[in-house]
Amino acid sequence: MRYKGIDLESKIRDRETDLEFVAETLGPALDAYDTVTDVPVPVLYRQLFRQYPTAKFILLLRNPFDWLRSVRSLIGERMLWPYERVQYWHYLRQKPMKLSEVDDQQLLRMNALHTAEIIEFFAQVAPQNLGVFELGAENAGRQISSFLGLNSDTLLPIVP
Amino acid sequence: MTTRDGGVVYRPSTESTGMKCFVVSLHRTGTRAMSKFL
Repeated sequence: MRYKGIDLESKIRDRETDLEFVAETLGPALDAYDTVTDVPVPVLYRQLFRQYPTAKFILLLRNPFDWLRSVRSLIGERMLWPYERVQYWHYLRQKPMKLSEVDDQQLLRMNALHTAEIIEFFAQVAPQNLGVFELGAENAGRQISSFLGLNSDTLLPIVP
Repeated sequence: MTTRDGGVVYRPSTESTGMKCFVVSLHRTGTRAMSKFL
């Protein structure tokens, strides 16, 4: 994520497990945009909710085995980037530099834990702020639009 | 505006709808689809 020419990702290097620091560092960029998606946002939901208590949070569910194949295919043997490390190190105690060091069982457990913890968190603090949708469902686009208070029949695109 | 895979942001606040939205699905769980959709 670059903001005003500053490489924010390099600023969080070596602080990947400090979610408060990561959220604070990304703060100017988060302030400047209505919508943010992708790493490291998924594991910053507690900090983001505290900072933006009226924000909407969208959680898409995907078949975990499809997710596992997708992650393995994309990342393969390469080193994890700092933003990716924020997400994976939050759940994987061994703090892998490569995802190939992690077995499938651990990744599937992480996937399940992420979903469970987000739902548990928002169930306690603000259930109305969280929308949970199924990736690939025919009406997902309409449901998400409705959750955001938008009137749209746009389909959720399929991105490989 | 879309950056590389690893932080996708768009709709600057100058065009703001007044609503903040964060996609908290894990990486590779519809994050790119959402960046095109929203």
